[in-house]
Amino acid sequence: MPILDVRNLKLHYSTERGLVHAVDDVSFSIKEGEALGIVGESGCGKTSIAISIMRLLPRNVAVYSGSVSFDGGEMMQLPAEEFRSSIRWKKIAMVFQGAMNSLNPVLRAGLQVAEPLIANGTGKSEAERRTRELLHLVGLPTEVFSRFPHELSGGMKQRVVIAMSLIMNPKLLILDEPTSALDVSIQAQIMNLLKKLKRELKLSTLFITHDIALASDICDRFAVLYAGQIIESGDADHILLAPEHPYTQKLLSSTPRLRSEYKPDFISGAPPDLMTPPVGCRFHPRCPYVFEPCKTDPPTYSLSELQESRCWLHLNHQ
Amino acid sequence: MKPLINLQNVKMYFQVRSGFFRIQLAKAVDDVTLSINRGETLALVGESGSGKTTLGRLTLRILDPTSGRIEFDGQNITNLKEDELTWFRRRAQAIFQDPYSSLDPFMNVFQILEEPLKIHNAGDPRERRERILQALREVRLSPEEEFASKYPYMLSGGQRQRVNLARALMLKPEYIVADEPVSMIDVSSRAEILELLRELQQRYGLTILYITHDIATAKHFADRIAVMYLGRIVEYGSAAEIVKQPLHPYTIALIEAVPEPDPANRLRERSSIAGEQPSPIKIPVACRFHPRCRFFMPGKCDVIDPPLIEVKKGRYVACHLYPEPMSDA
Amino acid sequence: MLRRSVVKELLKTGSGRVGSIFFLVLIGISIYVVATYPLDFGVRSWRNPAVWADYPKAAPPVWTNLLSNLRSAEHQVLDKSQPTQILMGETSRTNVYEFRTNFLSDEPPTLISFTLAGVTFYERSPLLNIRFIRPDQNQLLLYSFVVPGPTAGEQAPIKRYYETPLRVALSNERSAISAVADFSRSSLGVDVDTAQLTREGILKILFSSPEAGHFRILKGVYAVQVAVELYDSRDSVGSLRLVLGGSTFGVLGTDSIGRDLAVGILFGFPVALFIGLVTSTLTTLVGAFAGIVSGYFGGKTDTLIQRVSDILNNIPLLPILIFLAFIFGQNLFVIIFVLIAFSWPGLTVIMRSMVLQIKSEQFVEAARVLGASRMKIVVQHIFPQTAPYVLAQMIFLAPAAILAEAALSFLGLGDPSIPTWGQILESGFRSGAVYVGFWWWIIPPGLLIIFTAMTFVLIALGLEPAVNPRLRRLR
Ligand SMILES: Nc1ncnc2c1ncn2[C@@H]1O[C@H](COP(=O)(O)OP(=O)(O)OP(=O)(O)O)[C@@H](O)[C@H]1O
Ligand SMILES: Nc1ncnc2c1ncn2[C@@H]1O[C@H](COP(=O)(O)OP(=O)(O)OP(=O)(O)O)[C@@H](O)[C@H]1O
Ligand code: SF4
Ligand SMILES: [Mg+2]
Ligand SMILES: [Mg+2]
Repeated sequence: MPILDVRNLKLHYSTERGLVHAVDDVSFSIKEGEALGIVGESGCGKTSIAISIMRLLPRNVAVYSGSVSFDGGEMMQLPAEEFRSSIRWKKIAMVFQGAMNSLNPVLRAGLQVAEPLIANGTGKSEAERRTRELLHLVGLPTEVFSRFPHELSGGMKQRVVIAMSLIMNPKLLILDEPTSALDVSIQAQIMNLLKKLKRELKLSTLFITHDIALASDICDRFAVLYAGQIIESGDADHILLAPEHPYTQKLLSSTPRLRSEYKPDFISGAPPDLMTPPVGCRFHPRCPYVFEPCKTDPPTYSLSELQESRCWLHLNHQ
Repeated sequence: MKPLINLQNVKMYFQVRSGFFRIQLAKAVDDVTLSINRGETLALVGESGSGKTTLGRLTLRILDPTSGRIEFDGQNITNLKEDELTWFRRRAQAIFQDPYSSLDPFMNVFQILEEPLKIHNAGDPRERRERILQALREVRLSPEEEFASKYPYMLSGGQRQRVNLARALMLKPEYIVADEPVSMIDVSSRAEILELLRELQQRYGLTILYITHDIATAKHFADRIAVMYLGRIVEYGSAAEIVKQPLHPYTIALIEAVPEPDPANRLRERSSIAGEQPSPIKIPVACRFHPRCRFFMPGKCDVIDPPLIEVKKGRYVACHLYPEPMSDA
Repeated sequence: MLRRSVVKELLKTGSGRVGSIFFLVLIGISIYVVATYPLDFGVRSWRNPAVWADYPKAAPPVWTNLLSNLRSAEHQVLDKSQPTQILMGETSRTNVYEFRTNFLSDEPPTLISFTLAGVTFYERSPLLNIRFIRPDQNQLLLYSFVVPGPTAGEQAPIKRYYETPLRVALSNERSAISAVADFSRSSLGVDVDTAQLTREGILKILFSSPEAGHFRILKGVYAVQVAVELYDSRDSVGSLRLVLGGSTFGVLGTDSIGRDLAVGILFGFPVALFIGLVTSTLTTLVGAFAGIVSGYFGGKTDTLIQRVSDILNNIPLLPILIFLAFIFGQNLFVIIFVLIAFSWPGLTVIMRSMVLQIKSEQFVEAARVLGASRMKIVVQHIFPQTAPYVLAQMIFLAPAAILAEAALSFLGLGDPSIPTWGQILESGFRSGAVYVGFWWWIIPPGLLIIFTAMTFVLIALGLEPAVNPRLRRLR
């Protein structure tokens, strides 16, 4: 049984200019101990999926529907108060995009990590002990406990933020671009840490990024997001080595590779405006294989046990 | 062939205030000697804070170097004043990293592209218009008339970078500093911009300093790569060779750390460099990479600053592992 | 692009729309006042007690009658400079001036007085007859008067009452008293003796009719005819005024020296706008300029500007103003100058940090690489980014200046030659209006100060979305 199962999730924002279809009928699931990567270009709705699961929605939400079941229980029906007190942070935690830059500048790092514990009634000294343990686990010297954020480097702040998300022993961790502001060498260190945490704590992970190469470092399965919809999903081997959807193929061939002579390719045109997404297949205006059926919405084809793709090219499959 | 840009022992030290009264020196660029040949693309690669942007700004004389000599096309421009640099401003241009902050939000594309022509009093209004539409065509922003009247907020990141490129080309320069021109746009559009840059380079014989932290794009789009660490060039040579056979321990580690989309990645530890790059206020003595170096030789690396020497033809390395030119084996 | 979108943005929000309407009202009233009032209104009228001699002291507004069931008399000042009628005789011409009033009060007027100004004659002294006509058509000759003739050696044309008008308090005039006593006896059939009339006044009889032994107020249209008999075609009469004393006056009442508060408060409109707009505009100019210079050019100038603004920011304003008022006298322009001198640093500090931030934006560096001069960069790229914020600050500074001036006036440091709402409030408080209950003296100027300040605040709120870069980016 999957630990997280998301069905037909929709999240639309209302703005002055119209409705933004940020998440449009998205379904996926994560098994226990597994890392699922949601990859897609900027603005395609990755963060919106994360906040839908965490139920941390901005005020201008117009549509929020679908089903999110966690550990067998349906979350969407749960009263907000109950979700807050028993699920959020305790069972599902999240590292927000850019969180390392929004640490409270006047509070010592250790206190920020320990705060949820203390708020939940753990004693001061017990909370401190737990926090020091956790700082050690994420590879920080324990004196970081009494440092202020501005005294820490980018990599250290990111580790603090990861420690914060782990303090309540969550089962599922959502990571939204956890390394995008960091240098490759620091990025490598953080990814190694995340791998270790996944292995040692048996954490289930939802890893959100625009960088498919980075995601390949940790993800067992992938969901490729384009314009608010999942266009292909499957296990790492299939997605990275034998992608079926033209967008995934293009995305992979756009990624420059150091160890091959193959010159990076590109997708011409820009991603669509989510206010007025293209009718039919949302990728069709940029797709090199576009043909007649693409003007209508393609169904999701199961290509194998492990791979699904939403493209008319699979019309004759099976 | 004479290089277009020639830097000799260039240093750029910034004064930074730490605490109330203490003023310390951040040695952002610390004794760099480097030349860029006419018509080539030189990639300057290194981690954040290594001084890449500072070096690029020095070659544009947006900064006054603390010491050293900067030559452009054989002329010493190190100490020229702003009003003596007008000729140079026409011939050297820049493309910036941030597509959101590099275009004035209050100006439309036409005004943005007209600005360089106005500053240098080039052409009458009709000619200007012609040149602007031509430039938009060249960066493939068509229909040109329509794009000319748009404001930056109406454009995608990739489109903005093309406007940046068009602006840099308006004065038909010979030299362009492209400071992380694609790091803030979508992966799927990066190659397109870089291809375009390459194409225009060939058409106009441009010389490009391509600043990036992404050694993979550097490999594909540059002729030569210079690797920078804490204000110094630690290695440089032909792009293909550096990637194929890096020599400096920092270059080796940097290349190893770059991920590629491979399902096997998740089953193994990723190679990384120990520790973090120190601040340019506290540069380690002798070899500045020694606290993080895998090949650290006590008594040598922490005592003597290794000079940048030519170890092979056209390949320079600053490391005690290569005390003299290598024999071709 | 900027200007149009700002106005559009403003009219999009409710507060912006309300604020704009209020602002137009303020402007309209101010234009009317500037067009109709003399510029030296403060000295010539407001501070001149002679002007207000015929007005009741501390009279509430007329409309307060609506609130009580006993209707008190409205104080009326009726002026005439053109005759209502001219009668040509054989040797003379008679100018008749008729004052009419519909009298509906439950009490008789408190006084009746008559003023004559500017008489010129040649041959004979003009003769004045004042006739009183009641609604019941009974009438009497109340008062007769001959303009004094030439003194020894005086040459025609003879001029009288140009400097000091002739003022006759009819209610106390002996001849009027006996005329009323006669009238009472013959037309009303009631005997009153002159001693009693002197004591109780003639007005009670003039404005009532007897009814079962009592005098009852007679309501209706009363007329006072002043006939001036002139004997030469070149003779002329300047102006006449009839005052019917009452205990209520005008739209806004009067203060304790009889000044018509409506007149003073109207004058306050353009003054408040002037103080607000001039102070805010100049403060903004100085503050923005200093901020840009300080932020963009840096160096010694920056240090100097920062020091000066630090110092100014930390000097308390009030003692300085008291001190300057002492040295230069109480002068509105000195007050405005000091307000500007002490408010620009606030804007400068913010502008400086904005400019520092904009300066580090890449488009500014791009302009430098293109070879743009510093001046061009400031004008083309830096100022336009700050303009919406500067505009908002300018609007916020206006009510601050108006309130500051009001506060100063309230402390008695206002400019006496230019009446403002603050000063009216101050004189009210000084005369104890609050304790005595002269609310009409306190509430209108107070409300207007708040109203004007509110107007600017509403506009500033309306501009918020256009100005706040964060909100702007969200769209
Ligand atoms: N509160 C909001 N109101 C209106 N539109 C929003 C809001 N938040 C996000 N959006 C829009 O919804 C779309 C999806 O946003 P989201 O942040 O989920 O994308 P993302 O994939 O996380 O992008 P990035 O890679 O840039 O973080 C974008 O077009 C964005 O502009
Ligand atoms: N104007 C300045 N004043 C003070 N210090 C500066 C200034 N400009 C740069 N520095 C410092 O010099 C060092 C090198 O900065 P630089 O911007 O050149 O690095 P970079 O290699 O371009 O990094 P990034 O990849 O983050 O752009 C940094 O430590 C930076 O803080
Ligand atoms: S359906 Fe058509 S357009 Fe869409 S991705 Fe497949 S081929 Fe391209
Ligand atoms: Mg996001
Ligand atoms: Mg840089």
